[in-house]
Amino acid sequence: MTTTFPSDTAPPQPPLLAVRGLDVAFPRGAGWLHAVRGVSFDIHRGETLGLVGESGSGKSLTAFGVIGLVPAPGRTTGGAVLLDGRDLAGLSELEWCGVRGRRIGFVFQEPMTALDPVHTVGTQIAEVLAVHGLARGREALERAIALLDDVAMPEPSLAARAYPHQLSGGMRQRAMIAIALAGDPDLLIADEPTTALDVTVQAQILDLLRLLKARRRLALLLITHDLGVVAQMADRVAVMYGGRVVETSGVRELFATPRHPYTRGLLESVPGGSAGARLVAIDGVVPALDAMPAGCAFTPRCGERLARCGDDPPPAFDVGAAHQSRCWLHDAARVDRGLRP
Amino acid sequence: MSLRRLLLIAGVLLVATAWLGRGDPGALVGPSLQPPLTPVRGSPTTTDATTDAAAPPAATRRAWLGTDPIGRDVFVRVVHGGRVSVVLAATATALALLIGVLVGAAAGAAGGVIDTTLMRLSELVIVLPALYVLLAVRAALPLVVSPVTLFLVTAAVLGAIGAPLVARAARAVIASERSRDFVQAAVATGASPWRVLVRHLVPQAGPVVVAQALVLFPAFLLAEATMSFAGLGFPSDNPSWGTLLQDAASVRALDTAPWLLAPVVAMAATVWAINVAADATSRRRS
Repeated sequence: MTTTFPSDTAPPQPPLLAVRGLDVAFPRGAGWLHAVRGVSFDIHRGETLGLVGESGSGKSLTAFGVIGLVPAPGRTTGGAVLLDGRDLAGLSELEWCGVRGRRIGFVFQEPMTALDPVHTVGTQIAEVLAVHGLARGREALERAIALLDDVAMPEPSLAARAYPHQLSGGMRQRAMIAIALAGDPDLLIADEPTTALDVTVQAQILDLLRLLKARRRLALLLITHDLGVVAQMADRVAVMYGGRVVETSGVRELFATPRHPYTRGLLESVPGGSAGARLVAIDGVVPALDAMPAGCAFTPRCGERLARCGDDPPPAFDVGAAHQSRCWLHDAARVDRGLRP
Repeated sequence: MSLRRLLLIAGVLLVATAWLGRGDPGALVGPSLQPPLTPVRGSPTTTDATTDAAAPPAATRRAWLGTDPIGRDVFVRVVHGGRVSVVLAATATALALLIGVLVGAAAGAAGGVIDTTLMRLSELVIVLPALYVLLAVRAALPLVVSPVTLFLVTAAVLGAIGAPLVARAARAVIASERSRDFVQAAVATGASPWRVLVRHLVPQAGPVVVAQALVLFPAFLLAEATMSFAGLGFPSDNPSWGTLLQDAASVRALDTAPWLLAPVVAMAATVWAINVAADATSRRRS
């Protein structure tokens, strides 16, 4: 009997967050430009999903779509976001206020601009507690200090009285995480949480996220373009390209046997193979939103494209246990004919 | 000074003004207001028939700053006049801040048609020359009006004229800050649109609104002084600083009794003091 990693098999309980066919689009002339197209994934309690992709692949917009904050004039044009089985699409603005911060915490990429410059860190955390009716006044401030202690902020009671500009980058991101956790959410969405930080601080913040996830049994949606971060942090990975999830898999399986040509190209372009070996890059660039092929978005850059790739969007083929890849190469008909999968 | 504190002061000032004037509104600006609320003894209206109108006496033990041509104590009159001038300018500034921040926040947060309408209306008011509007409103009132009516009307007109300047400044800040990350971050923590506006957007306008207040206060002080100097404002028996300057309006008076210019010194000192105080608070914050 082979050992399977727990994360490689579907856990029995229903997912905390289920995204089904999420579509985000921006108006352009008479029509819509689709920046996120039919994205689906699940996140279970205590699980980390790494959402990977390069700039413009739609990963941040997917995250904003999940909490209903797609920046205008864009909007969610289709699909469902189910939190504990309840579709968030139909929520009123007031109902959203009870979900954002309380059920889903959001950590932004750039803590300097995501913290309000005119309020102290403690006030901003206390405000979240007040918004959700968890504590007010002096008690809220005390809990804010406790939260800062939770995120390993040095001298939490001093930091609570500091304005964002008085803190270092890493401390700001800790404050940002404390704000996101103040409402005691079940799901934490972190949008490139370490991109704006020094490398040494990055490692600290990732350690902190891992610790908090375990301590609070958080589900974590980690958005990053850094495969190293994914390898360290994620249980499962969804790779995005051109607004679509092209491959979903457990993290070990993805790194061991990537199936989609884009994922393979991505892994080959990571430095650090054998010393002196030439670094491989994927030819070409991501097509602009209005120049996306009707079929698979990767077609123009793909070394293994087939005749139908540019016109027919491939469905998600099962290529392993809880491992899907959207590529015509896996088409059973081709495999049956003895061609390379 | 934070905007919240400033607006609080503005509100308290308005309420205090209204409270002091309750029952007997004349108490607000009239000479009937006696110590301890007025820090000097003596009446600003007591005349001295023995005074030589051509050469009124300079400082004496009784009248520190000398007297005017009919023997009224200049120091007492400056102090009493300050009650009218300073309180009026402060009330008008407070009013302009409250209306301005309200209008600016509404315009900046709402955007679209509401924004355009409010801003075009504001511009309409801004192009009106403040002093002429004040004089026109005064002209529309009966020839003799009580000082209380005059005080309230003048404060209201000046406040309304100054408000669009504050509104435009506040709106510009709020409209540009609206698209900032921290606003979206606040929404992502579950803050309602109203809370985002009050807690995160309006406070950003603090520094520009304080700056506007520092421009408006001296302007209002001067506007009222000009009106009273021209004889359209407060009467001689309930003077403002502008009224007092009527006595100093001749070259001969300047020659024989230069202390009649005391209200000018008082005005300059007031404006300077406010600027120093504002400077100090902003330096302490940074």
